[in-house]
Amino acid sequence: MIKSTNQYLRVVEALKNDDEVIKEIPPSHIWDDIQSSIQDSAPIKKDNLVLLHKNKNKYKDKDRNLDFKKLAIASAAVFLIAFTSTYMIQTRLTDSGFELAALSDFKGSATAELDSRSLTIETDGLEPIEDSFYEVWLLELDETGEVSDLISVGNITSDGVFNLPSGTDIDKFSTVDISIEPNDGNETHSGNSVLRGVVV
Amino acid sequence: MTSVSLEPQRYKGFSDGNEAALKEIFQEHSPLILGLSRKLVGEDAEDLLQTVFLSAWKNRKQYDPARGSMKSWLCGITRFRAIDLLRKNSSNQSTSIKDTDVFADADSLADQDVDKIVDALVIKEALKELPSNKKRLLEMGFIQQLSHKEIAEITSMPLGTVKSTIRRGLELLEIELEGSLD
Repeated sequence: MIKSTNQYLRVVEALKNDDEVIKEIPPSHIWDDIQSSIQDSAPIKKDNLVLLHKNKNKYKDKDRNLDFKKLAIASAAVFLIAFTSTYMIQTRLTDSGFELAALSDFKGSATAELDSRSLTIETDGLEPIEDSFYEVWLLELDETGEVSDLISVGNITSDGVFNLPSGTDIDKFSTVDISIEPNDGNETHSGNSVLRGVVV
Repeated sequence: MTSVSLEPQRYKGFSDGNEAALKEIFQEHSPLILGLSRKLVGEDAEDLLQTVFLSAWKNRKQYDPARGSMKSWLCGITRFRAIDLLRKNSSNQSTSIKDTDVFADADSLADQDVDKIVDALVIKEALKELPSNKKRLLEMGFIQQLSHKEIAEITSMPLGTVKSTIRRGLELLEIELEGSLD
């Protein structure tokens, strides 16, 4: 069934369009460049990720089902502080979820809201970067605060609501991370995280 | 019921990271994607082509044959990467990415042009894959602008069959169009 009038009209419009695209054989160096970009890609380097905190479970399971909006109103500035010997991160609740803290001297900011099927990210001040993009990740940390698993949720340039891959166990992921990824075809985390927040 | 998006077996390993599958896909689709890129961004076409395939590789796990063909998916990537490039090239972008609504405010002429060109290509390519009866009826209806009744008379097909065939054809095309918007 045609799902929407808009979609139907797009199909009909496209059927009437007589614009022609002329196929063009690409020069061989393009495949060579793609291949070398792919082969230069390093394997997943979880070690590159900054250690976050050691007490994730202290906050992870607590209050997950609370109404965050009410909580935010009741306590205007609630800070959940996750401490680690190598990193400190503050996660502040907002009307629309929780804030991601800027790492290092990064100027942008973001809030996130995670449910069983999607992750909603709202950002502010994420300046476009030449040949790079912003990517959103969910991180699982082990008891020592090391990253033990991670999944890419999507690129921020496309959408603010990211549908999680089916079967994603959100309980295992304690942290939302935004990184700057060079546009080099390497699918692994660059290690260049700029925003991060503990899921609450 | 006819099904679309039955991708060749050789694509099978693509989502799992099989480089040979990517090469097959490149060999098969790069002429079309380069042609599309040329139309969208001119002299930057080869750079865009490379970006599209690197992006496809990076996001290969998101590719779902049930939601459209590989060709439509690649055209969709080309659509968004071209818009990125055109925006970057025009106005020396001082605007920031705010509230992730980069595409929500895509109201510039360039963006609309990109959409129209990509839509037309996706639909035309999908049309080639349709069974000949659906293709013929759709062309009569939407390109030659004939009414359902006129088509029924010309083809000697029952009016109900004409209507249902055209509707089913449109549904199949819609799947492809949707696949290019993922």
